[in-house]
Amino acid sequence: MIGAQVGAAVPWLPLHFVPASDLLGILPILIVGGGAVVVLLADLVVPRRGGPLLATLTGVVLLAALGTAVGQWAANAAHPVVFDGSYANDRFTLFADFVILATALAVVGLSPGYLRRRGLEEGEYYILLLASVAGMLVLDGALNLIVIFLGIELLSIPLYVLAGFARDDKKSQEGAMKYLLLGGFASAFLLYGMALLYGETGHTSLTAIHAVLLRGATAGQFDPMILAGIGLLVVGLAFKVSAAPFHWWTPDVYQGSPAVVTTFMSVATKVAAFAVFLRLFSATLAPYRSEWEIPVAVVAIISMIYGNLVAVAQTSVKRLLAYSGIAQAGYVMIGVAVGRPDGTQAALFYLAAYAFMNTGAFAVVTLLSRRGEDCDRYSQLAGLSRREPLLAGLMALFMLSLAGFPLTVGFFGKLFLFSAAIHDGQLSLAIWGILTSAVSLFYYLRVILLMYAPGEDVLETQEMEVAGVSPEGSAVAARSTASPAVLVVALAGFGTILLGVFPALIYTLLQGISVVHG
Amino acid sequence: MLFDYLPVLTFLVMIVLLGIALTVLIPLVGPRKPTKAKGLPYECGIVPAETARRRFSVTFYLTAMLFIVFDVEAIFLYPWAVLLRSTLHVFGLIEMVIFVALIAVALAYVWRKGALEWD
Repeated sequence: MIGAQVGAAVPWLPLHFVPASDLLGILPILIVGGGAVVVLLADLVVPRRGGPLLATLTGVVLLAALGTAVGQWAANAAHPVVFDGSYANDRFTLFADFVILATALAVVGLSPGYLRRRGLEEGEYYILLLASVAGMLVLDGALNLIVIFLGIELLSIPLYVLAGFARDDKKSQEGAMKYLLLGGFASAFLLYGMALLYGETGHTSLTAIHAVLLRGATAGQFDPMILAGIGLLVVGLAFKVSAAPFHWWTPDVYQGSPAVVTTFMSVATKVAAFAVFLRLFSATLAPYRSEWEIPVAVVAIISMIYGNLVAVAQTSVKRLLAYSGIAQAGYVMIGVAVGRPDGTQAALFYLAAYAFMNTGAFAVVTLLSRRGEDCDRYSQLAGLSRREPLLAGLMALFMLSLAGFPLTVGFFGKLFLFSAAIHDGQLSLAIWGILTSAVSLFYYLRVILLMYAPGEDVLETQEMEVAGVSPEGSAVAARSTASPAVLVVALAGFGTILLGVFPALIYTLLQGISVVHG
Repeated sequence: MLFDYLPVLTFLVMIVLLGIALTVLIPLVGPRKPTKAKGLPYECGIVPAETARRRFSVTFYLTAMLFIVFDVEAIFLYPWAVLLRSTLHVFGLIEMVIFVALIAVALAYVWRKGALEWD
């Protein structure tokens, strides 16, 4: 189809090329996808244990993609829709690209040291990571049901493998299996919803679907098949963002996966899935808003209540962050339910804030890992403030930010979401958000108290009893060999405070961003 | 609106009826002249050499996976070759070169990682 009109003049002459503007529009995806192939080939030639080299190469690829995205933002293209209206490279897409690529860069910074400590140094890790990032970039600009599905599968399939990357760890295997089975199940829901939408409207293009829905809705007709399709879409997407009650895989997968994979999964996947959630619901399906508003708000409220209440009972930091992630998904869902540009902007701001504080919190967990295991049990955190004062301080900062304390970025994230809900007249969403945030204080502060509580350092004594290793040997030594990882944690902490004091740095970027069709 | 789906329903009903009719009618009216050759399991036209319930080495799955990859590649190549001169031109050529190159990269990867060694 593409370029067919160009070649029509001289049939045998080879002019059926994709227009350069189309390729330019997906340049970040091309860079990441091509980079995955380059890293794969590099993995074949570098000597074994060439982890740092591959990590550097992966970092360069991601930086190049990030630089391209920034350049495209600055150029501010007039017609950002490419490939016959199936991909939008607009500011909404580019902002999501920034968050995804920055998170991936942070994860790559954390990876070499972590993988070495856990004995998981395989080049495939970086290849799969890049493939998954490519899927996320496809997803956040998709303007066509087929492209959405392509993006979701491209981001999920590498993640299934990454979740089980610790091959001799039973929990990792269990998590990967659960993720694969339930993920396939969710994809089926999503696909069924898309099939119903296509069946009723006759289009896969979101723009065309929007036009059909608008015609029906202005005539006061709400097609039951389309309502069923929307319902199935909510289920499929809520699974990907791990919103309750479609969250059952989250705690086991987050706990079982290697900590770097969990970092990536919990932040980048959520950003990409919420991008498509926002695009579908605040633009394409907007004419049916009166019908889906209540179900989406209910999913948001259930997520906030369930995530925050169950998080209280956890005894592992990874599981705590999984349940807190479910609660955070509920907060962002407020932005989806509000729908208007200010809801979208608030959701995007929260996702950016989430990227800083959650990447930071998981990065600390990553740094605490030692030979063959992640030290994420509460008992292993006790006395961290004396063992690792810097890490404990930063962890405390991330916990406060996740709880929404003033002077951290988390505070403004929640403020913008709740005020968007209040402006929209959805008081109940804001009230539930505030009430559950109060509950969340309990478990976030508990982690801080554990780290700063006086008393014996359980991990230290355990280690001396078991292996006879000097207590200085583990985390401190690991830290000195993992300076990029420390840099990542420090940057995340810096961003958390900087944006907590000057939220306008990001909020002004978001002004004028609204999800529109081409 | 739901009326539009009537052809689908008709199609489903026809499939079920046809299936039942064929299963019931064939044993009733068809002639049966069994011979030894007719009773043998079908193995692509060769006379079966031994029992089908043999055990395979688990490494066979790698070979099987690679076979599928190149099988699918061949399936793509046939229609592409038919349409190349008439409609696809150089655009099609470039697309196929990219596709084959990616598969070649995958083959190089598999080879180098030792998945083609039997042991």
